[in-house]
Amino acid sequence: MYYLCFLFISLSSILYLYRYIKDSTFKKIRFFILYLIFTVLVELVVSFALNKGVDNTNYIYNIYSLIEFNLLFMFYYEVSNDKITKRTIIGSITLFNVTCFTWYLFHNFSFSHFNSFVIVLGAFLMAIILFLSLREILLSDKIVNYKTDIIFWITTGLLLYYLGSIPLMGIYSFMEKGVAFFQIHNIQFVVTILLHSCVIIGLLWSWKKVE
Amino acid sequence: MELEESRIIIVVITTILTILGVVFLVVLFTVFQNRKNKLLLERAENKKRYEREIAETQIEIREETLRNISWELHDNIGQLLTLARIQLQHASPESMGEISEIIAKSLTEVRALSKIINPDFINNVKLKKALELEIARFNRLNYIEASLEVIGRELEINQKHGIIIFRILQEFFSNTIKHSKATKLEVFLNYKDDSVEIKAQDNGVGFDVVRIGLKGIGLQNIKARAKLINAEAKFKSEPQKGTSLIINYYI
Repeated sequence: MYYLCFLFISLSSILYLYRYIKDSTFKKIRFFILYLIFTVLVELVVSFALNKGVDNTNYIYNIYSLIEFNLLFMFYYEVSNDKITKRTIIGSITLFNVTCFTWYLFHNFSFSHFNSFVIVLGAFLMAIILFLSLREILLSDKIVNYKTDIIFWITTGLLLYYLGSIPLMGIYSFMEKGVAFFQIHNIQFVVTILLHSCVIIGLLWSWKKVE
Repeated sequence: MELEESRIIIVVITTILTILGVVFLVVLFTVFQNRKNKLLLERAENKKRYEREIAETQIEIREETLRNISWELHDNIGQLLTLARIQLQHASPESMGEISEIIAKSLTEVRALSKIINPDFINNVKLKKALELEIARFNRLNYIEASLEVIGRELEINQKHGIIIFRILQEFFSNTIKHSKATKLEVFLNYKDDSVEIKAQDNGVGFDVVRIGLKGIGLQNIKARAKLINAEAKFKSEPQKGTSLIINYYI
């Protein structure tokens, strides 16, 4: 399951990077492409570390979560034309970073523990931004060609991913590592595959439109 | 036993997540598709309304043109030919030159009229040219002392939009001549970078816009028509200070 998931992430990264090089209009979504590439790199580093016998890769995932949400916030800030959405994004960036900083500083939280709080907070803020982004598409002229709108597909994928992730992260916090833990992990892989399927569908649809 | 319970919980979570995901997608696509259909319907309706308005405007311009021709035939050419006939009845070799001049003038007027009657001319004439002709007609028939000032480099205006702007101005001119008791009518055609400002003003009796209201003078109609072509129409009038109409058309 992990390899299938990694295949989807790599495929979407390669396709988006290719389009970014070929099509100048893709500069608008550079932060999303950066997020995809960063995700692939993190997965590669984690695989390498596990192969080298490193047991705890939580450090990497904790740092990844911080950067991941900031990249996505910035991506939506660049593509949004709506004042409310932009203000919400600025508020979310501030709230997310200040809360994370405070959390790590005052809770004496070690990076070696998987920090599901950061992910739940980020996912929650992202869900709000994603709903606002969908509302923006719904109220604009983009609605006429929404199926060929790449932002619509990315937003749908991310919304499925984060809405699916919030309950899973909650469960992780109360669960010991065991067979059941890894089975829950498989659900996380499924939502990741769903996210990247949407992302790839969006790219292919918009590709068709350009041609 | 514990493992079995965990598995049940996982199956329940997965099922709930899957159902929620599917419901979310169905709702999302339904909402988006409905909104899309609604917008497309609105657009089709607006297009129909626009086409209908253009057709109505063209008919109104034709009717106005026919009315003007009727007046011109009666008041101008009719008068000239009557004068020529009277002079012919008392003709002398000395008056032949004058009679010939009157007939030549009548002929020029008839030619000018025949040009205006041509439907191709009505449909294809540019806004600037149409205004020039209208102003020239007012001066020729001594209806009012009219002038047209063109500022800036002429921009291409959508033909159908030009028809609507011309009709709005024609209605204003008609009101000025019929009701304002004005002696002067000034029209300014100001071409800007991405817009055109058309200002028409008279020195007539004016009226209290608030008291008389806007419906009577057809301003609602003017505003609705202007909106249809992405233009703004502003109407100003004060008793004894004349009336002005400013149209801002954005290209």
